[in-house]
Amino acid sequence: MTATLDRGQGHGARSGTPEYLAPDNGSRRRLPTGSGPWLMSAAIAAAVVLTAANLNGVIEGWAWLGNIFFTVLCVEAGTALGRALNWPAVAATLLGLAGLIGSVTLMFFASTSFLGVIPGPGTFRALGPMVDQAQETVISQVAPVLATPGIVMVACVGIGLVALLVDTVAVPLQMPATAGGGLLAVLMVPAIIKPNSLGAVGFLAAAIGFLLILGCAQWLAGDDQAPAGTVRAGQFTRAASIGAAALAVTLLLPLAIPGFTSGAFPQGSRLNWLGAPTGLNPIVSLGDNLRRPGAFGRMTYATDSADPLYIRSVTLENLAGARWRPTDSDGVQRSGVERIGTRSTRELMERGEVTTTVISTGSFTSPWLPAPYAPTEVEGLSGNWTWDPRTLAIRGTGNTTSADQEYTVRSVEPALTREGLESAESIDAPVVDDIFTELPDSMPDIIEETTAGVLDGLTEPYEQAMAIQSYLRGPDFVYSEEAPVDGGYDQSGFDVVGAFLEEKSGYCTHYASTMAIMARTAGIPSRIAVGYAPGDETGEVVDMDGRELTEYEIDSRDAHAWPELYFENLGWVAFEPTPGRGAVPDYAQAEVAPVPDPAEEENLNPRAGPTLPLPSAGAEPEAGTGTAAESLAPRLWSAAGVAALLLALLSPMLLRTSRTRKRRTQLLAPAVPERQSALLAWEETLDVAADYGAPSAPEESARAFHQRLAASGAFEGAPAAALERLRTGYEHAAYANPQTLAQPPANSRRWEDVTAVAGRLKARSSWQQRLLGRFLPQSLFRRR
Amino acid sequence: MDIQQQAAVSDPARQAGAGGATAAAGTATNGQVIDDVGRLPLVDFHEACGRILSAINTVIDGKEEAARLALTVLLAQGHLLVEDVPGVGKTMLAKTLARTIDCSVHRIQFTPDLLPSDVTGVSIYNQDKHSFEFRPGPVFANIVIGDEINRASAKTQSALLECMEEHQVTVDGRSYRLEPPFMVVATQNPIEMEGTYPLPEAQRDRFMARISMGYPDQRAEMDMLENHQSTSPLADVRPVVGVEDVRAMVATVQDVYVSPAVKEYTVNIGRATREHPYLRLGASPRALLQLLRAAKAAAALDGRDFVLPDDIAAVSEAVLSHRLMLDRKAVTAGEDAPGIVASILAKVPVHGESRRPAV
Repeated sequence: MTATLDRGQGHGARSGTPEYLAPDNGSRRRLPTGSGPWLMSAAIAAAVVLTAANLNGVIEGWAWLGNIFFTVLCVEAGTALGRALNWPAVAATLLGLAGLIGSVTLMFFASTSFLGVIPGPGTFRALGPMVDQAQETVISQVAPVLATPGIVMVACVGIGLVALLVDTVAVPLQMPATAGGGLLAVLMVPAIIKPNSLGAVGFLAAAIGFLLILGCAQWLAGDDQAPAGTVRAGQFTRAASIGAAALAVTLLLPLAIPGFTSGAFPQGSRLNWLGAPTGLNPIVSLGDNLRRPGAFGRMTYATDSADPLYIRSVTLENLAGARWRPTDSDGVQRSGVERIGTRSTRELMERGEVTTTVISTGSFTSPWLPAPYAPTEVEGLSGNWTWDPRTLAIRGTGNTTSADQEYTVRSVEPALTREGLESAESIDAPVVDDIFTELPDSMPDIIEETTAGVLDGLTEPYEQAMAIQSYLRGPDFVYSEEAPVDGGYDQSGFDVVGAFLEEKSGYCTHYASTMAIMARTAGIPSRIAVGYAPGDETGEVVDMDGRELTEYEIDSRDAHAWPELYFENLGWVAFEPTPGRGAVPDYAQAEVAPVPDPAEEENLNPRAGPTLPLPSAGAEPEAGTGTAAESLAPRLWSAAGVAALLLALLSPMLLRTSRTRKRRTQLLAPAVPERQSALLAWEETLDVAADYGAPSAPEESARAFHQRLAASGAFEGAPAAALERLRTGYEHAAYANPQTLAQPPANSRRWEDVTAVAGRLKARSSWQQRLLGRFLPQSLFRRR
Repeated sequence: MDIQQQAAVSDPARQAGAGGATAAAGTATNGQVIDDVGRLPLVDFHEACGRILSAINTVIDGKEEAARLALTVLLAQGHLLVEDVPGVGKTMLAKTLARTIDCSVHRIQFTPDLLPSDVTGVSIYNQDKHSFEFRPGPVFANIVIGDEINRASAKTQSALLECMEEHQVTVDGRSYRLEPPFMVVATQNPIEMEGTYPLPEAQRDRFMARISMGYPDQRAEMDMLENHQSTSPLADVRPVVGVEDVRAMVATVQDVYVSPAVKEYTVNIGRATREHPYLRLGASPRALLQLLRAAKAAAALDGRDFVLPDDIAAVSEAVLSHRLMLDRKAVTAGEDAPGIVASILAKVPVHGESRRPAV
C-alpha cells in the first residue's frame, strides 16, 4: 500500500471516463426483428424439407413428403410467431413444439382430439398401435418401406424435432453453421440405408438448404464481419487448403479404414487405377460389383419369355489348383456362334420353346458374352466370337469384348419338371467331362461331414440336390456381403467353402461354390454359372417381327453366381441356393413349402428358406439390402449412437459457446442495467481465464485475480486497461450500495473489453491450452 | 509519576462546548465543505488522508503501511497497540500521527507505581469554593499516547481500558465525557518482560489493531542517519488537518456501505478462526465488528464508499492476530498468529453477488 492515493476510482463513479461514452458502435449483432423471424424460419423449413426429401428410397414414393412439409411448416410458423411477438427464446421454441404436436395430431389423430389439433386421451391410446405399426414396418420390410401411416407419423415427428433443433441452434443460440448438424443427422439415414447413398441431387438439395440458413443468418446478423467485398488474401489460401485437405481425407480414408460395407464408402470400393474390371477373375469382380456403392452400367434385354431370365456370361468348373476357374478352352473352342449347341440342345430346340432375347450390353466389358441359357443362335455380334461346347459359354477372341454389343440370342429352356428331375438316375458312367466332377485331393473335413449330414439317407440325385439347396437356404445361413474380404474370403479359393460352412455367412459366390462342391462330393457333376440375376422390368415393350418382347434392365448390382448341376438325360439344371437373390425355379422348389417353426421365425433371414418364385425378383434392385430388413433397425441405432457420441463430445464446446452468446446477447441488450452488465462481463472474463489456464478460485477476490494477471506480465496497454475497467465495474456492481444513485462506471464497450482480455489470455496460452479451452472448457467445471 | 504534556492541555469545559459542532454543517479548518450530516465528501477525504500520510512519511521513512494502518484505526475510532522491540520508532509514529492533526495530545509514560488517578484525573477540594473540583488527568485528550503500557499495574491498566471502552471517565461517582475523536495509541515491548504486567487477552481485545513496526530497510535507515543526527524531525511537523476535519472524516467512514456479501465474508472468517485446529480462542463477535469498522476505514482511505473483501483481507492480520490464542500444537508446529490468519484468508471463499448472477 502506498500513501499516494489514486483519485481515479473515486471519480469514476461520478464523472465517467470520456472514452466510455463512445457512441454505440455498429458491431452489435441484431436479433431478427420485423420480417426477420419469418424469413429465418422459412429458410430453416426449406432446408429441412429439402433434406428430408432424401428419405425417398427409404420410404416408398413421395406422398409422405407432403405430411413432412406440413409438419415442418407448422413448427417453423410457431417459432417465427414467437419471435415476431418478441417472446423469450424458450417461449418461441415451445410454440414450435406446439406446432409440431398440433400438426401431427391434425394429420394422424384428428378423430381422437379436441378441435383437431389438441391431443385428447384417445390420442395417446391411438399412438401405441401407430408406433407398433412403424416398428413392424422397420423390422419386417426392406427399404424402401411402404409409407404406412405409422412410419409416416414417426418420420413427421422425427423431422419436426430436427426442424426444432435446427431452429433452436440457428436462432436463439446463434450458431447457424452448427445447425447443419441437424440436417446431417437426417442425411445420415438415407446415406446409410440407400444402396446408392445420397446421390448428387439429394446432397445438393441438402447443401442448398444449409446455405440458405447460413445466408439468411448472415444477412440478418448485419455487418459485424469483415466489410462486404473485401476478401483478405489469406482467406482464399485458407479456404483452398481446407478444401484440399477435406478432399484428400475423403479419398484416402476409405483406403485406410476397414469395416465400411455399405453406405457411401463400403469396403472394397477402392480406387481402381486400371479402370473397369476386366473380368479375368469373375468371382472377385462379382464381389467388387456387389459391394460397389452405386450401380453402374446398364444392360437391357428384351425377351419373349414369360419370366425374367438369368443372364449367364461364364461358367466356372475347373477346380485345379483348388480354386474355381473357367476351363482353359483354347483347344476346344468352336467358331460360328450363329449355330451353337450340342446335339441335345438342337433336339431341345426342335421340341422345346425357343426364347428370343435381344441384349444390349452397354458398357459391360467382359471377354464372355452375356446370354441366357442355353444359347443356340446368336446374331448381330461384332468381333470374333467362339463358344465352348461343354459349357456353351461364348467368348471373344483377341480384343473382342462384350462392350457396346447389341445382339439377338435364341435360347432353349429345357422343359424341366420336378417329376422329370425326380426320375433322373444317378450317373454310373461319366457322360460329362471329368472337369465337372473333379475334386481336389485334400478338402476341409467340414465339407464332407456337412454333405454326409445333409444327404443322410438320400440316394436320388434330385433329392440330394434339393437337400443341399434347402440346407443352404435354411435359417442357419445369413446372406451378407460383409464377408471379410481381406482374409481371401472373397477369392475363388477352395478353402473359402470350408470357412463359409463354419461362418454360415456370405453372398452368392459362397452359396454357389458350396453347393457345387457339395454336389460333387455327392457325385453330381456341377459348375458355377456367373452372370446376372434377372433385373428390373423397365416397362418398355420392344417390337420384334410382330412379337412383343418385355424389356428388363440389369446393372452391376445384379451380378450373381449360381450352381448348375448335371442330371442324366436332362442336362444342366440351375439351382438357386442363395437366399434373397434371384428366383428359385419351379423345379427347384420343395413340393410343399415347409412352414417355418414360429419359434425360430425371428432368427430367420426373411429371404431364407423356400420362397415362392417372385414374379419380379428385381423388385429388390439392390443386393446390398438383401438383409436390410433385419439390419435397418440396428443401423438406425448405430447412426443415432454415432450422432449421440458426436454430440456428447461436442457438448462441452456447445455449452460453453452458448453461455458466451447468451451473456453477449444480454449484455448488448439496449436496456440492460449497468450493474448486471458489469457482473455478466466479469463472469465471462473469469470463465475465459479458466478456459485459458488462469482460473480464479472462489477464495480469490476480483482485485487479487487482477493483480495476479497483471503480475504475470501478460497484460499491457489496451487489454490491461480493459481488465481494469472490467474489474472496477464488477466491484461496483457486486459490492457498492445498490440503493444509491451512483451506478458502476458506465461502459458501453464492456463486451469489447471482454473480447480484448480474452484475446490476450488466449494469445499467451499454449496451443494445447487453446485446444482444451475450445473443446473441453475448464470454466464448465470451475468452482463458483 | 511522569506525565509529559506534549501540547497545552485544553480546558475540558471548553472542549465540551466544542463538541456540539459535529452535528452542524460548517466549514472546517482547511476550508473543506462538510455536508449537513457532518461528512467530508469522499474526494476531500481522500485528499486529507494523502496529506496526513505524506506528513508522517517525512518523519518516519519507509513505514507507509504502519502509518496507513494507524490512520485507519484513528478514522475507524479504534485504539492502536504498537508492539515491537525498543528503538524502532513506536513512540515516534504515535507522536507524528498526533502532530499532523491539530488536536490535543497527551502522553503517559506507564510505570509500576502509576496510579489510576494519575491517568483519569482527581477531585481536589477547593477551599475557596468549599467544594470538590475535578482536575482532569492526561486521558482527557484527542490522542493519548500510552508508552510501555505493560509496565503499569493491572489496576491502572484497567482504568485506562475502561476509558477506552466507555469513552468516559468516572471519578467520585461523576462521569466526564471524552470528546471525539478519542484514540489511545499504546506501545508495548514484547521482549523485556521483567517487572511487567502483560495485558490480559480480554483487554487486548479492546485494541482495534496491533501493529509491529519492524526495522526500516537499508535506504530508509541510511536516510535516517543522514537527516536525524542533530535535530528531531518532529519539530518540523505542522498539523495538516483540524479536529473538525477528523470528526467529519470519521463520519464519512461510518457512512461507507457494507454489502451483505462482505458481511457474510466477515462472518465466515470469524467462524473459520473459531474452528481452526491451531487456535484455542478464535475471534470474538466484537473482533468482527472491529474488523468491519477497520475495513470501512480502509475502503474510504482507498477512495471508495463501499467495502470490498480485499479491504477485510487487508486489515485482517492487524485486527485479528492479537486476539487469537494459539494452541500448543501451533507453537510446536512453528505457526504464529499472522500466519494462521493468512491461511484462513486463503481458504474462505469470497462470495460476491456475481458468483451467482441473476441471469
